Amino acid sequence: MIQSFWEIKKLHPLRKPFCRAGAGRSFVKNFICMHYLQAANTPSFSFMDIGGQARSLTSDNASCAMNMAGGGGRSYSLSSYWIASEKLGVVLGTGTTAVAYNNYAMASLIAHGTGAGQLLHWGGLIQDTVVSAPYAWFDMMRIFENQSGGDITIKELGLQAFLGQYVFLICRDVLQESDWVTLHNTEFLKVTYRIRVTV
Amino acid sequence: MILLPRKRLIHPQFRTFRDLDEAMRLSNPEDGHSIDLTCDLTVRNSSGKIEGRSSFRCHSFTRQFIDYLLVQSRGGTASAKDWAGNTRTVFGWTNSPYTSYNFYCPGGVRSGVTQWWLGPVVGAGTTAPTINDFQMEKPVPHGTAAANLSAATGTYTSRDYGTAYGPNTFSITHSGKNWTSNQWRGYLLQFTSGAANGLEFPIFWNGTNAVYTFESYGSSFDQYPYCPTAFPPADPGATANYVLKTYGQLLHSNVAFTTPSDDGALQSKFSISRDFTNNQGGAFTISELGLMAVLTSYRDYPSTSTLTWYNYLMIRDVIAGGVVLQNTQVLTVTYNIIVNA
Repeated sequence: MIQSFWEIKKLHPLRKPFCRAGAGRSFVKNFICMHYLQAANTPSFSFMDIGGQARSLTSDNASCAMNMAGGGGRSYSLSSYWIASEKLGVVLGTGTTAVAYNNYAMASLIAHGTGAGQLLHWGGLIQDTVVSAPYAWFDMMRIFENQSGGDITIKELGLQAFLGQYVFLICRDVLQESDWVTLHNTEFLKVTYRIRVTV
Repeated sequence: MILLPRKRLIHPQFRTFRDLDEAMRLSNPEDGHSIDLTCDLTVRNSSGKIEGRSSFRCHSFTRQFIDYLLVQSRGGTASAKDWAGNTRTVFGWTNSPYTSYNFYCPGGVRSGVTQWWLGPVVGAGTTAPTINDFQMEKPVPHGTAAANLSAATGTYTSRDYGTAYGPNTFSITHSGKNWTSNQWRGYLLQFTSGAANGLEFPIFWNGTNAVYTFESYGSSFDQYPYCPTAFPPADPGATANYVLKTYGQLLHSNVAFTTPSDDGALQSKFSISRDFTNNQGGAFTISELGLMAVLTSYRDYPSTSTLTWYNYLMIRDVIAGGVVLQNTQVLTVTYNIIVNA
């Protein structure tokens, strides 16, 4: 059994940290497709990237690396394509549409930037495996900064990965209203996904 | 009947992971899963008629699976323990066309060699799984031999091959068992004299438990098995007697995969399955299930950059009471990997 958890911490130098955590439930079909490609060594299999385009991939480009070098940076894919780093790893949104198995994009993705409704995507971090019987896990995290000049309310979380030259949504969690987090201008948010197996 | 995942977990507000962990410990452990694993077992007679069937939810991904997810997510490297107990540096992706060989498990006949050790595997062990398990307790390899304690006997003569072929490599003289390396893999070696009397371990071949290098070496290493763990504190000394033993063997079919499917709402899955046929001549009890897969490494990283592939135990389950397989019966083991949106 594999569990995922999310944790949101709002950081401000002058205010008490605000934290929320919950059990994630929402890996989508793309995640299964990726691991099928890996396990079966199938010559070709097709599934939807974040633009809604069906992309045919082989096992040779099935590694789902989620390099998170930071917003504005670019990550180099196995297939020699540059990927905007803010598209990979932990992403946020303001959508509330219920999760479905075939979601291939966030309902309303928050873009990288300082414009209205945008958040600066700082560098991310994926930590090493931790083993504490009966569990083993690793954490994936990213910091976001609001320099948009207004409030932004976080309502959905997700994970995006690249295969070949394409970006795929592999996980999407919609927060209950009681877990929504409003990030005021100049505030920082640290979002962590924990992936854990239990024997 | 497959246990269907429960509805979305409705949870109160938790402030941090620590609060959430505590709440999850107190809750039903079946709740809150993101990626589910179930196993279907079907027993058929030699005519194909179903004579028994059951399903259960597995709890037994090992830490090697989380290591695999980590390197897939992050790229770069991580340490993971292979099936022989060696700690390897594994790669999520490399600048080569061989990246695909992570979680690779299409065992079967390839280039004339039956890779029975990849994909679903079975065993006769009964010890409860732990997160750190890296090999089956009592592996049941491909073959038709019944459980026995003396498939062959011989004399261990030295362990002077460490420099040339790696740590813990030694030579044995075997009594007429001029087997291929693949046949040797079906047995365990147990010392019957000397300081290491009683020490038992599966036979691995130095440098050859990687899928591809194994084939290129062929049988030239037949007389040079190695112990997967250091001999001390049970160093066998200069010479010692041994027996070759098996916990029983079953014929392993090729591994079959289903393409990803969904229920049109929340659930998606794919399945990995294999048949195990009992041709031992008598009944045999299977009590251990597992899944072995390949991860990509550089051999002897970082001193060399030769890509190689070692085998890792990703899943291990123990079945209470076991499944009794009569002679000629076939057990089909199907692992279903499921996500629920």
